Amino acid sequence: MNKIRYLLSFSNIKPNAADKEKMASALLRGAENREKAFSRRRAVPVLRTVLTVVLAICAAIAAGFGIYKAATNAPHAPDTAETEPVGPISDEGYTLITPLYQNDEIYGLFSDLMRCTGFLPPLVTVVDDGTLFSRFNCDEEDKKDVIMSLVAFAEPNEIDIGRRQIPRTLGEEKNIIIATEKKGTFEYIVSINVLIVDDTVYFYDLEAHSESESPWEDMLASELFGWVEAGRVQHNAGGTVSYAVNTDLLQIGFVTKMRIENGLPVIYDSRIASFFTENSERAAYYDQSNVLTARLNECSTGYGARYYVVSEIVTGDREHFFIPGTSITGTIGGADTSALNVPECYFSPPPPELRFEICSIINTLGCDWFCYMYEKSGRYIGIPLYLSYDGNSLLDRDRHTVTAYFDPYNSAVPTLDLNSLPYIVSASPGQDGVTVSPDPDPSDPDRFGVRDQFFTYFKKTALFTAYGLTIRKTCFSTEQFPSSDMIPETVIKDKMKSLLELLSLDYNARFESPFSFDVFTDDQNNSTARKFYSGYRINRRAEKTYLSLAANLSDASAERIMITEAREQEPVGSGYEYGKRYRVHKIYGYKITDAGFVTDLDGRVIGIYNPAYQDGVGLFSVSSAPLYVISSYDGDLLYIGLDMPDMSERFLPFEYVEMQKTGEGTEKFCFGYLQYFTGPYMIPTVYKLTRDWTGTSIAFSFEDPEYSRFSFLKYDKSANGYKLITAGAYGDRFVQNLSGITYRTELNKNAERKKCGDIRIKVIDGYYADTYADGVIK
Amino acid sequence: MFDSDKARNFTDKFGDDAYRFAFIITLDAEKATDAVCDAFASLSADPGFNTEEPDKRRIFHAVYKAAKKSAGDPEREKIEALYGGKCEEFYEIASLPVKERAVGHLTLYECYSETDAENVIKGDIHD
Repeated sequence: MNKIRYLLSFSNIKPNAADKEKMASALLRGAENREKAFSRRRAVPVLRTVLTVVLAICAAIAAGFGIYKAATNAPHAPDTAETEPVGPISDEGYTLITPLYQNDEIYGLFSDLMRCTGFLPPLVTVVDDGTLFSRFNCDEEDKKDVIMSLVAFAEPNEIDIGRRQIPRTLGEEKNIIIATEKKGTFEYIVSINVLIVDDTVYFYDLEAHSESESPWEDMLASELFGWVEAGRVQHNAGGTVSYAVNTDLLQIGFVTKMRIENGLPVIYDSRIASFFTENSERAAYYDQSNVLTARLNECSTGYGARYYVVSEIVTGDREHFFIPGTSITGTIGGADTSALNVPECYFSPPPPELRFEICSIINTLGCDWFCYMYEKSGRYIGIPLYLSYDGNSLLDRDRHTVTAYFDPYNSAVPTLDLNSLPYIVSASPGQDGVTVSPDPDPSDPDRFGVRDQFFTYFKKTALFTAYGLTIRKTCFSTEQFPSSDMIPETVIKDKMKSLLELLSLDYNARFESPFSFDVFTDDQNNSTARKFYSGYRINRRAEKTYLSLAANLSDASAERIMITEAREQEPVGSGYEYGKRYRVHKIYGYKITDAGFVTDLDGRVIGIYNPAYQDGVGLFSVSSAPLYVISSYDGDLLYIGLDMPDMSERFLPFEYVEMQKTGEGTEKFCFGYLQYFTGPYMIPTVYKLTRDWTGTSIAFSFEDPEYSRFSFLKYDKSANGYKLITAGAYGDRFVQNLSGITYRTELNKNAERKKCGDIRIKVIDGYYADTYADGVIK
Repeated sequence: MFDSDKARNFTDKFGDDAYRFAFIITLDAEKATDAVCDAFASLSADPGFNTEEPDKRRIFHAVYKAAKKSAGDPEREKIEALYGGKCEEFYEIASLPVKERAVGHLTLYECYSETDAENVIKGDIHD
């Protein structure tokens, strides 16, 4: 019997991630039962002693009772006293939830940010005469009296609303992290929002709100409207807090995608999620739009606490990202792809009378600027605002309230145009990104300064800040639709960048963040004569020219560099003076990690640090040979080297998804993120690894940006007998085994006759190879 | 305390082989998963089972006990449709009675001697 063949038969027989999670849960369940059994056994001697005493007492009572019975001759009812001990997790019918990381500084920040920045149920702020009142869920129709806001509650006190005195007894809102799952560099956090009033825990009750038709005054008069009492706070020894709650009342939570950057939490995505319990052991959060789903396994400890284990994170963007054959434009640069899931992006300025109040509210938060986007009827509505710190009146600030528009070349964040008022743009998704254009029917074109601009969204990043922290990074940035003075190569290059735009004035650039590298391709000659390298880049837009600078991080003096942006003027030479204070508009750069990698703004590895190139230009080792960097979709570095890894290895460090093809079994495509360096350019693309049914890698392909089609990478014969042949001129693809038999992986009749010749051809559909007559594909 | 990390490590280390063993008996992915879950739960509930340095033979024995209840017949078309092409050796083993099937898998896939494999199936496991 051929053992090898038998082993190979099991190559694709193995548990998937969900199966493994079930197995792990089963292990935990068994271990828990063992703990309980152990606890019970440990309790037996004590129980025995207690029972002995109790029995003795009972005997004495019984004796007395027997005497009494004998005296009265009354019938004796059997004793039915409950002897089953109360389960450890049962506490007045409540489940004890202990927040994760509650003493962790970073997660404390995260929790505060969640609370303060609108990643909460769509509560609204009610204002009257400019006074922040309270927040309630409301309908958009009530905008006259209610504005959407992100703010936390005001100082608790009594606030006037008209002639009525409404006590502010709404307590403290808390965002409780109950489960996390790390995927790549991102962390998915499942949290719930509770309201605490006098140690009583309230959950927000969606049904109560939806069933209400009360006028606003009645709603306002009803304290805790929309909240349902759900449990109580339990103060533990050591200062920690748990929440004994009735989870049946828990209806909504949040799934937040975030990671720590520069020591601070950056929220990439956070979505309201419904909560339901499938059974007593399993709960799940899911996003209503099915974009971000976290499945949870509910577990309990032997000490009464209950916690959740994330068993599965499903992201809609991932699905979009990995649909073969569809556009992957939005993934270029490796940024978040969630923009592609946004059906439309719609920026709407707030009504003027409300802008005043928004300014007031935002000002209390000390935001540099913010952009709150919320969904309504499938549209995303945003209010990008910027406030100056000049101490002027709100009305003056209103003049400074600007909308975001996008640097067509480089901006990773919306650029604030101080000369414009908010304007309206609408966006529609397309195969090449999201096209953004002025709203065709703005309510007031003059007032809102509708711009005659035409943008195409590509995935880039916007930073939202509050309290001086980056609170969210999202993907609204654009490049202008290529104009006549814009060469295509520039477009391609710009897609790859991750940039940080500094918004505050007179910012002392410390280069604390990683940046993209390509600015270093400029001004190389001058840099050699300088103590630190600085370069510039002319970024042309329709009406402005930007100058951007960068400095060599390897030079300690860089930390003292003040760099500038020259607007609307042509830079001359490298004319920046060391130590002079400039206004920073943009910085490009990079960061060198302790491990010797060079990373961009998002922390993605973009090169290997080579100390031989002190001017910074050669940091990426791209001058002589290509550099291959492969990371997972979530940004984990998987491979870096001057050659492609040996793809013949059966177990590659790529994550993969399994795709079911009807009638053909399972075909495994491995996906990841490939950054391909050659010359001065970084070419990020998506790779696809295809395995046959035995698990053998039979194809490795990537989108070739030069030819705009998928190509195969060539590599040598593998241990399993295959080698890949570079894609032919017609896009046909071949795989050849050690016996010299060539397989085609895609049927292309035109290529067939010209390229195949008399080679014996097998056509691979999925991974079934059908043999055809020599040289002829039927 | 057997926590979730340890459980995952355990699953990562032994899950694949246990699953394949269960699969050759059940010939069904779902049933194989269930069998492994039952086996794992019973093992971790057993105070005598060392979860830190487990004896793989005990795992196979537990899997066998759980899987044989839902042993499947080798239906070539169905197997190939669901799990891809399989070699003749696979079907040769899969068509054996359950006990022999398990012994065959352990000898072929796990390189146990026939005696050891039979002992595993019987639960006759000694150091």
